[in-house]
Amino acid sequence: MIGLCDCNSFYASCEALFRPDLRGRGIVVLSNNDGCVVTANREAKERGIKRGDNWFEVKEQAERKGVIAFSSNYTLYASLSDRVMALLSEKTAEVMPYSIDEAFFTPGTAGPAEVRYEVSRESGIPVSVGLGRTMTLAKVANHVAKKRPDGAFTLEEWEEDEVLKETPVEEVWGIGWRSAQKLRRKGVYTAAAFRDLDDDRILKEFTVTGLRTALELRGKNAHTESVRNASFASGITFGKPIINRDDLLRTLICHCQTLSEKLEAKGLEAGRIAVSVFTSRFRPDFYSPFVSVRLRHPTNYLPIFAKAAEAALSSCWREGTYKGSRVFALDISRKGERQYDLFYDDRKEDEKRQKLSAVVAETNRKYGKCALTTLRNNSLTKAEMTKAELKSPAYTTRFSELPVIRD
Amino acid sequence: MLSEVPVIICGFPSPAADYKEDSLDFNDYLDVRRPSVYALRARGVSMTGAGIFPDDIIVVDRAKQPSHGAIVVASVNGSFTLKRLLTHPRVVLHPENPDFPDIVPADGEELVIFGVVTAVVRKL
Repeated sequence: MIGLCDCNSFYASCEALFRPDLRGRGIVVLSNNDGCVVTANREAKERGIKRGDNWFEVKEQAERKGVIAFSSNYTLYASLSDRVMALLSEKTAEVMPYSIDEAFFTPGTAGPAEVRYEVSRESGIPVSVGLGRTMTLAKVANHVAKKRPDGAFTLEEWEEDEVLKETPVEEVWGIGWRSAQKLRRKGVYTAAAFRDLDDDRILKEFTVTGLRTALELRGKNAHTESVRNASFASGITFGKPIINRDDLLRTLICHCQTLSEKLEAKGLEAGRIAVSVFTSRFRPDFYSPFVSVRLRHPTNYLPIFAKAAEAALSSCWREGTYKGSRVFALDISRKGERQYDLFYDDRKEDEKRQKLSAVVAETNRKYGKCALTTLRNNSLTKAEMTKAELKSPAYTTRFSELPVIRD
Repeated sequence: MLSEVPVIICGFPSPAADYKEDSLDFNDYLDVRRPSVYALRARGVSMTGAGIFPDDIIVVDRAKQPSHGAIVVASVNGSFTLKRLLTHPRVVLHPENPDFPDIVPADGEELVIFGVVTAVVRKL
């Protein structure tokens, strides 16, 4: 079985964590520059405000109905996301982050309801947990879980048919809005109906991506890393435990190298790098932090990955006997899709990096993995300046902005 | 004999090297790296009797089970409050300052506990 853990209205839940006065109120979070609504919690949706609305159009209505708005506070969201991922990796066998608020996982000994309860309680961020035979079925199970009081659901094989007959086709992971329209015109309304279409027909009309989705709905694992493009991981369990910090960092940089080359080969870039290291889970001092670092621009440039990994390790390092390490490349986008910064055009810089990356890759092919790697001597770049008038404090990352308790 | 004096002085290990340990790690001591642990700032005076003063940083663990006698952060009427939790003879939030009354949840009122206080940090 594969699990999917999904945070409920994640950004809004983050904003509510240290604001007990907002309990039961509508909360929306706005995009960069307060342009449009990126997250609306259930209460906001009930008051007619939804994701994608232009803020200036719905602002008055929101204020009238007592819906409170926040500018995006990515520092807070990333910090809380890391906590959710760390807790999830404590309570499951293996975690594969998919986005800032979702992760697939391989279940350990704890059942889905237990995982759901403990991750929600200990992080303070409500999550839902779904289990299914494939990633796509786990997604379906998660939709069901969200509607249940215990927030967890296991989609057993014998129930699949029944559940998929009740799942609208547009809710299936991997079926876009346009494909859903097309399917509806042809009378295919449910996930079950799509699953049962002829392979040839799916292939012709929805390409191999569509076929993979259908196979997944039939219980065959068809989604490999290459099609998901959601996140990439490189990790190992050490043959011999590592206690030295520099040695641990070296393993992380090797992972960065693997990821940098993998992404380059596929023409992709990452917007965030996450590091996870872990000690033995059978020991009482089991430690498995998960720390992510947001990059200034999406990139696949090794030195930037390495800097990010080093920054992540320094924030979570403690003495211990480490059994393994992983690095994740998250927020994946296609190269060239990104917009260049208005104030800082780094196209020239990019060309130089391209050439250097090619040389590094070539050298490593000749002399072995990680023969040529990076000297980590730069500090991380500063955050961009954006308009964020309604931004909440950096509750979890700055002493000057800790949540306050009065009498 | 002079010729037997070790010549590479700078390579001679310090006699203290065997006893060297890493510096104290307060993150470890206070267990603040746990993903269930949050830091909050106290501003009020209702817990001075328990040694918690205005501007103290309090370390709160959401994974700890709130039990009788624990100091907790609870949310009451839409704001956080720091009090000692007593579960018997009945559930009350007890301040450690005689100037403040006990907070008794009304019948059917749900008491929401944010977490259990595990440490107080104060610079003098």
